[in-house]
Amino acid sequence: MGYALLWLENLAAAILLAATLLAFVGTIRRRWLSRSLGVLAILLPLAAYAVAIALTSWLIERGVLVGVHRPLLMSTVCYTIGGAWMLLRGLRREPGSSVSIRAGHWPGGRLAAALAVVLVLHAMTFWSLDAAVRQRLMAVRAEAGSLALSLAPPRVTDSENAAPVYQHVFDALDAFDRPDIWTDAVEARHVPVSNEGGFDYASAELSEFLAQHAGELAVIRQAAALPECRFERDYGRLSFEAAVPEQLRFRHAAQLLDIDARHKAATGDMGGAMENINAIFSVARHAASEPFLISTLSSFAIERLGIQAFETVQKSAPIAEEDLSILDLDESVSHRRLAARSFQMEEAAGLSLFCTLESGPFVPMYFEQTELEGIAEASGITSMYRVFHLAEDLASYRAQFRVIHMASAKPYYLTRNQWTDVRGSSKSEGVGALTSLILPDPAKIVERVQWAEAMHRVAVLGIAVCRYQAIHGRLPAALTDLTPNFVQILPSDPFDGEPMRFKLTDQGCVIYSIGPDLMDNDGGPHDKSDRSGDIRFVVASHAKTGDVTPPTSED
Amino acid sequence: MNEWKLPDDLQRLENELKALPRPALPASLLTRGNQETCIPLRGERPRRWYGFAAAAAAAALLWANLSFRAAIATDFHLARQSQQSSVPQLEEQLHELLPELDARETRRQVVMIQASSGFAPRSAGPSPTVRSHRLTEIDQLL
Repeated sequence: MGYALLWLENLAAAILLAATLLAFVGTIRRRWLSRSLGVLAILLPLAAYAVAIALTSWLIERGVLVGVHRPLLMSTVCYTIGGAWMLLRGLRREPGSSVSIRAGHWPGGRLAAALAVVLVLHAMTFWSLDAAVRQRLMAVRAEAGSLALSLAPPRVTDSENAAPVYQHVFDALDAFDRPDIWTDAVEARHVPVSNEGGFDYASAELSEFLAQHAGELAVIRQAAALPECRFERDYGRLSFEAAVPEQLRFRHAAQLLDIDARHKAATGDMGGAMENINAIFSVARHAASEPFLISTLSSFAIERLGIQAFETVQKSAPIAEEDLSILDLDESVSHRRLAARSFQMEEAAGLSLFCTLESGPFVPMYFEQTELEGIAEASGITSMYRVFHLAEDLASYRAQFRVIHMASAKPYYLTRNQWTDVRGSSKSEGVGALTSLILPDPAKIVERVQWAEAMHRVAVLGIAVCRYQAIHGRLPAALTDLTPNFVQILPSDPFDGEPMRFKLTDQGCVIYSIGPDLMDNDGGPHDKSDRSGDIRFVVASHAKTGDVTPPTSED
Repeated sequence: MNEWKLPDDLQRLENELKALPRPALPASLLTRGNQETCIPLRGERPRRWYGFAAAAAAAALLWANLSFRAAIATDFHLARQSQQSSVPQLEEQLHELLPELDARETRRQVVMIQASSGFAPRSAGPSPTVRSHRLTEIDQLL
């Protein structure tokens, strides 16, 4: 209704403008001049309409704008009819009169006054619509808040909550400067522990450094041993300062545990190394308790740190079964579920971002220090956006997330094409201006999630194979040998839904997923640059002649 | 141009009517008649009370609408003003945490987390008693 009124006023203003101009140019005595100017007067609003149509079409073509061109086209058609009528009536000759064309007799002053009144009313209608949109945004804000609060981690009892303990050790971690030995140890983690010529994890300097921080390590392990983690914060008003530095501290804590694990493995304390690695897995689980996408991705990175540490340590020396039994990498963890929760939080944050348009300019922070900063701060653009485009933009945002949530609910191998279609279709069909800025690239994120899921599953199987080897003194012939004593269910490859691949080699065995390239590369290492290769866990064989326990009937 | 003339019988009747004595008009009627005829001749319009009332009502409505909208548009600064760092600074922190994210995704994440500070409902934080109790527990644990 409001829009009908707005477009009606717009049309009235355009016709009155043309009529007023025509009335004034009609008073010119030279007929050819008055006629020429009269035609220009009629064409002036038409040119404005044409520019508006061209601009909106261009934006629609680029996938930035949706929806507004239809009423604009209708107004243009109506004005064209009105303009043609004015041309026919107003440009007629008026012989024997003081004016050259008939429009010269039109009451120019009254038409100008009417135009002024219509323009004032037009501006007020626009203003009223803008105010109404801003009021409606409050409901969207409430929706975003409810969604965010529903995703907040549940309250836990103090005795089970690791967060206060982490908080205590994080302060200590913040306080100490990271010496060169820390940096070297972190950077050297991809080489085997006992690699000659590489970083020496058994060095006296590293021993001294770790001894200085034995207290922090003990507290991190205590925190990691607690089942839950919930930081006391207002999930209705989260801040970057609260969310990101904490994840960074989780990562630093995991790095300290990683260095200590490798040091312990290098000095022969495999039990201590396993305790640290298990603590890394727990830290990853705790980091994932926050519903943000960055928390989820950060937790994946921490878990990968633990998996890499374990893979490196088990290659260096055999690990006893009692030490391996310390490791508790949960089989039932679903990275897909964590990602689905993060997408919901993304949606809530996006809705909240739409609400910032209620009072401020066009999302200035997005354009900070970019060439668009000045344009974004112009309040007129924000008002135009709110009145003409916000509704379609928001609808488009919700529609995109509906597809994302539906795809998140199913395994990746069933929805792979759907994920690539989300952003692809949005580009071709056009989404809103803000949606195109804030919509995540779900295909990329989901691929990363599946990568982490595959890594988790091969690691679960890798730990099981190590335990099997520790008990039986040999590697299993197939993954099926691991059930039900070492793993309850054999996990499938998230990329194709098939069982995880297993390959015996001269040095041990490789458990692998085919990875994002969807090609079985025979357990070859993954190359991030071209996404080729497999996601694998290599178990070293430590079997010795005469040290083989015959398989039991249970196996 | 030919002058138009009445027929003889009508002209005679006209003359007779002119000769009849005419009663004088009442002064009030004469004034009113003069007013009604003179105002249009001077190009003026008679002032009517309802025209003025309509104009005043239109102006009042316009003004009421204007003041209503202006009141709605006024920012009373009741909302919490968030004190947040600049986006490039935050991007730097996020890059340290997740270096594998590309520049677009990093900025997008920063903006999304910034936006998360604007959720409407306020969840209840822990009471000071609970907080102090928890700190005591941690001290005991350590």
